[in-house]
Amino acid sequence: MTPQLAETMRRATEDLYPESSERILDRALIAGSRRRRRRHHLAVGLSSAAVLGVVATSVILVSTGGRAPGREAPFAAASSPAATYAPGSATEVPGGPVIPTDRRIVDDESLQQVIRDLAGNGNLTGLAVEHVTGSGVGRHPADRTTDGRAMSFQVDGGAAWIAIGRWDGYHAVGFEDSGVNAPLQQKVATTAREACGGSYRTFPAITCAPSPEGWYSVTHPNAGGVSGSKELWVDLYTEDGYVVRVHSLNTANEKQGSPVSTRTSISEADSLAIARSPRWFTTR
Amino acid sequence: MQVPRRAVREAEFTEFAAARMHQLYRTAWLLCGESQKAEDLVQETLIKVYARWGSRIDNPVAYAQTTLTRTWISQLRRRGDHERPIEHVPDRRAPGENHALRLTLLAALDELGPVDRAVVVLRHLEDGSTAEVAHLLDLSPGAVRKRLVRALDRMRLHLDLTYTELADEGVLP
Repeated sequence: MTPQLAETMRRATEDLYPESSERILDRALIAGSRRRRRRHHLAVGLSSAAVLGVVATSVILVSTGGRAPGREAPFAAASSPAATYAPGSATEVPGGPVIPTDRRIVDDESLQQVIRDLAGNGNLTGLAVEHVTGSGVGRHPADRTTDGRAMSFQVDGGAAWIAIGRWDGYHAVGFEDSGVNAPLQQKVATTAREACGGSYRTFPAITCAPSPEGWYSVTHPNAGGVSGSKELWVDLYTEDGYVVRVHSLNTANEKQGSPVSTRTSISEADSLAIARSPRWFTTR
Repeated sequence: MQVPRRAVREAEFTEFAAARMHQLYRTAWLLCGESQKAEDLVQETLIKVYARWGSRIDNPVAYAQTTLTRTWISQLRRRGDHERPIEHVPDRRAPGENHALRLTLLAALDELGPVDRAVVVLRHLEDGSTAEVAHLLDLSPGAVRKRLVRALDRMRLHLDLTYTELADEGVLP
């Protein structure tokens, strides 16, 4: 260990305390109790299947919002995927399968035009395109590519992002934490449905619905921060290995600013239509 | 009159969380680089710890540390790149005398990828041994040492690490 660096870290952080430690503790007791009750009910309800701990990779709240207009069937819960279990390092994994495709993401100028056409019903401002890691929607520690695209903008003052990338390769690999003393279990998605479902069991489960392009999920995370703030994720996983995420808020940024509307800057129906648009891609 | 089990459990956890909050927050802050994300990370960690609180946790301190680290790595995978702050605002309160030091330290840590950053923070702030850090991050001890050497080499541009200390870690011959 480098004593000077250790001392530097200690000195730099010695007077740092969370602003809202009481809120943190209150929330830990409330939300932690809820998870304890759910786990108890799940353990009682299952006969022989092992109860898995909360997965370290995700805490996703199942959408409680309305269905897209015209849909008759409720979301089909993604069944436990036939994923491959393989012990190994969660951060040094070799990566999952590479799904063949004859498509590629269009250039930045075209991306911006697509956004203006699809999401520009209101006052659209601050449009920017970034090249990000290959997934676009997540960042695997071993991923050094910049093939993903992340677009940010505001609609009528509410923030929005659209991310496009790949769910295969590194990003097909998830890991599951079954406890402190257990090795991290590696799980690999091989289909769009598995990738949508997280390729691992989450608690509570992610529910995915089919679309002509693949499988999608709708999530309303707890936006936190300001009272009345709302957040929406629509994630579409295509059969040829792409993932498109449409993420919107009713505030100017995450946990910043007062709500500018009672709903997110992009509606659930519009978010799904944007995710499903073929205009994000061109053939190679 | 017997105290209800739930009340006992809540009291024990509250005492633990209050005692560990500062240390958890320091680690979270060095990993996240900003106070709001650090608070979120500590909150999520404590939720998970309380969800398992009881006889299932042999060592709550170690369990909380492991949970915090793995939650942070998993959040990177879930949240995406647009979550990164454009500039560092490490603390919205009055800067304090350590403000300049914090900015320098964050600039050095920003040179690192997320796993290298975690290796450095766990090794130095948490006094973790190579084996302990390896277990936390599910790496081999050799991989931890390799990452540490690489990370320190990058950080020394920002931090004035002495020749002796760099030689001890294998950065310099």
